[in-house]
Amino acid sequence: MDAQMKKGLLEVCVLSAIRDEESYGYKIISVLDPYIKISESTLYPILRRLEGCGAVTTYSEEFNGRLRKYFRITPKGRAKIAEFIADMNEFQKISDFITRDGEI
Amino acid sequence: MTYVQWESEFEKCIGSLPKNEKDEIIGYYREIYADKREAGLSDEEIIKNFGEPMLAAAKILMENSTEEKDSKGAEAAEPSAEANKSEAPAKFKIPTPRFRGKITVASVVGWFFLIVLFAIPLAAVLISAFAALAALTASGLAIAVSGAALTVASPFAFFLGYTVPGVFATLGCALAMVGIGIILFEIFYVITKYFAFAFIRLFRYFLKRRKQK
Repeated sequence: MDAQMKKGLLEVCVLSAIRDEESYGYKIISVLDPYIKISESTLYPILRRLEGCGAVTTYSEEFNGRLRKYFRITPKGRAKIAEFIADMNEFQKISDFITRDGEI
Repeated sequence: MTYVQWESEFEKCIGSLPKNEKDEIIGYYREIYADKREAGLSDEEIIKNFGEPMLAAAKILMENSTEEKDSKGAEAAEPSAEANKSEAPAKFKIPTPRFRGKITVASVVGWFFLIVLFAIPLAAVLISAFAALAALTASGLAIAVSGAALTVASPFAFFLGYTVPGVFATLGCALAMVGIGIILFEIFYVITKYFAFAFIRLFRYFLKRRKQK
């Protein structure tokens, strides 16, 4: 897959993983695992980027005597997901055109 | 490898980052490590997932550098687009000479005169200047060497028909010539530099005019 495309896709995957409730690094990876393999070193820059552009906010909370960093989606993050879905619909049309008649 | 070993190696690899950023990354890995341990994974499995410390660090450093570029681009596009746009490209602009435009009679004549009237005489002057310089220095050194040889031979000068003051005079002449050579070198160096810069400016001027066309 094209690197730029994958980057965008992973961002939306991470946003979707925290869409319903705030989450933390390991949980995000585990939730996404059945759909897309994402390593710790890949996730970190994504989370930072999302935080940088205001798509997520963070807070630390004590858990088992240590601090855990939680990520929470913002309206901007939700807008990003909506944007992605719109893009996908567009993409689907193009894909249908490319694969028309089941021949390539 | 234990996690502690992995972390210390990883930390070395991200050493170029600012301290607060380094601490944040380390904290991130520690948190995931602790979560994975609690989920029942072994040290070995966790480290295998983290990958080689160097590769993990490279990934983060690489993403960090592209991220900086991205965020800079986003900033420029968002708040005060015009102000930043005019600044940013100028900063990263590298003057690359590109040969665009049509080849016209005027441009051919222009380039011809540029080469014939400027470059060739300049090359000739420089070559002859350096030849003169080399000749002076070489002859100066030759005389100096012979002078020195004669000084050593001076006790036998009587037999050879030389006189000691004559030997010193020769040596003095030789040293003077080397001195002149060194002074000339400095002068020619300055002249060469001046001509080189003048030529580059003229060249750029021509390129600019071609681009404007």
